[in-house]
Amino acid sequence: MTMNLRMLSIAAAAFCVQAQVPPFRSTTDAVSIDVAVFDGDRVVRNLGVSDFEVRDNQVRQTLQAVDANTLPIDLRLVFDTSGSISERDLARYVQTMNRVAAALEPRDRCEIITFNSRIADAAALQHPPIKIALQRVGQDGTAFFDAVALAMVTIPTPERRQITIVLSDAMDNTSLFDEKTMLDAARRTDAVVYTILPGDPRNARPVSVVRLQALSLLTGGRLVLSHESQVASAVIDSIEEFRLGYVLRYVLTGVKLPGWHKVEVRVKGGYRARARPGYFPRSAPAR
Amino acid sequence: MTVRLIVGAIACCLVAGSSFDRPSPPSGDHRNQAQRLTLDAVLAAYLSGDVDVVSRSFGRSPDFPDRLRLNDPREFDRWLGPWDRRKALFLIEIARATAQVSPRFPRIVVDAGRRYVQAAGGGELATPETAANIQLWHRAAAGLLQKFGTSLHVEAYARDVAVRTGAPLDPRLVLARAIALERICWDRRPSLEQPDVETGVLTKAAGARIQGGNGFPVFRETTVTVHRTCLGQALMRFEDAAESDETRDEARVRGAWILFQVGRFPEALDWLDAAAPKDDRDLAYWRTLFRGRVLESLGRPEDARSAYQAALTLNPGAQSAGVAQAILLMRLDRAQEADATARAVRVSTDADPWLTYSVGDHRFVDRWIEQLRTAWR
Repeated sequence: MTMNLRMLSIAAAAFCVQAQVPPFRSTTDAVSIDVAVFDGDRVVRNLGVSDFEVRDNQVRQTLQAVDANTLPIDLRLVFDTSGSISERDLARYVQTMNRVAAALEPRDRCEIITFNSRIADAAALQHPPIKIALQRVGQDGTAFFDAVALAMVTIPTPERRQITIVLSDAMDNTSLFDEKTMLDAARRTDAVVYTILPGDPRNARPVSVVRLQALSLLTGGRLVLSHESQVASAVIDSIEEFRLGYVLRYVLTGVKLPGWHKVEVRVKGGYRARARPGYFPRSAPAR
Repeated sequence: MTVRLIVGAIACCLVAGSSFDRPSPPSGDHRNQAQRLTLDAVLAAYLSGDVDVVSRSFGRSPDFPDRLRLNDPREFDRWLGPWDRRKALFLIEIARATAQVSPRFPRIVVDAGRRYVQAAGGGELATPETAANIQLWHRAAAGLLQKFGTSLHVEAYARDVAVRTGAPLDPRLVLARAIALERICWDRRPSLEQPDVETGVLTKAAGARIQGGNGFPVFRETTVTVHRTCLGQALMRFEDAAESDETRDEARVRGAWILFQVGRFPEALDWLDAAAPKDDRDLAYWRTLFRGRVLESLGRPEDARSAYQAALTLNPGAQSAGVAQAILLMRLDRAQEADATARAVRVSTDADPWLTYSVGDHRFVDRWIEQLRTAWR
């Protein structure tokens, strides 16, 4: 299981005193963190501000608000289409994508990325119904690290929640970048990343499990081991779990802004909270 | 019964059910059709000017090479017989064509061809022109192995050529050996299963605890040591390859990539700056792309960005440089630009020279075979 965190730094005010003077940036920094709360394996709902305790770099923060299932979702699906993917497999992928797209709410948005040795858009970011254009591109090979690192590139969206779901066996043989770069990118993304490893869980390769688990844990998501035939359900369940989570908002207090911020979230009542372990502040653009 | 007859007989028996293309249009003569299925018939068609007959015959049917017993070295050797440069050319064409159906066939054919080319004697081989063409043949063969074989195949091939000729190894094969070792090192990179210090620290700093058989974080000193040793040996090979004018630039670029991987960034930059690729667009792209990576590691992000941009100028739409630029912009906290770059990468369908990096001289194979055609047909 994982938890989610999104961090957003917003400049509340930025202005130029005179035209020739460099912009002055205000430093009111708002942070939002995605959190999933569980009682055992059951998702816990209807919690409020008073139920959470958040520490940012070990300094307790005052929560301004808790959003529960109120924000629309931006879903980014990342499909590994490398290897000997048959026409049948491709058709199954499209079926999966269509099922997932159908499970979204009208206010949600979805985009789909595929990769083998090349990275491609199968669907641009759009509201449902999703128009999918899945096609084979590129040579044999798998650029898992490059594709996932690229998929970690996001823009902070205060009024939307971002979830990225990666379906792959996490094997790589053509990337320019490596595992470290991918994990570093994961620490910087605004999205919560769920990873799904298709296939018989009993035969899962340790390297696949470890890589996907690391990717998820760093972003507050989780790894799901799923039989091929149940991938669509695994994706939909992951989205629903994410949707039932909370967004905790606070204004950063008593902590220096630069660098990595370690975040700890606790929930009253003995519940288990899952959120990303930290974030890098995102500066607001100067005006 | 001669091997030729055996092959002909096998082909004759198979003709009714064969699905592969005929080397030349069907004549309606059953006997002639059967004959055309033999290596001799394909060779004859090829020599008569039908150069596409090779790909039509060997590049479509996965079982055709098996039917002609190309995987039986003795029979193949017997068919080849005494030295004939046209057969040598024919072989390298077959090796290239069979790659379209399976990577194992090029290895088989190249191996037979190497024996044939090396064992061939006679006065013709003594001429400088033929020697130069045989060198070209070896280069093409090694290039095919770089794409369709393993690093060990390339290593064995180059070593065998060196031993049998007794002469200094062709610089391109020296480079091929270095690339083979580079690929072995690449495959031995520490991963999360056996993480190096940096990866372990990175994940630990993020607070992640990976549940796995090894526990985490784990420092596998052996893995890291083996990897570093491997890279050190590869670097020495690139230093050797840089001794030749012909391969100096590529050896420097690849050596710089090794230096980058072991964290010797200033030296890597020196090696890259010393390389001056002229007529090799792929090499020019790699050099520029690697400069970006090195400059980024040297804490010069704006210079790195310029390098990535230069790489994209050389090859607009190359995804590797686009990915590098997007990740750099994300690290610089320039989210809008990073996002725009990432979206541009995903819609690009342009060729990416990075994808040819691991297969070395394979990028020259078509050109070399064309040169052999001119010389030997």
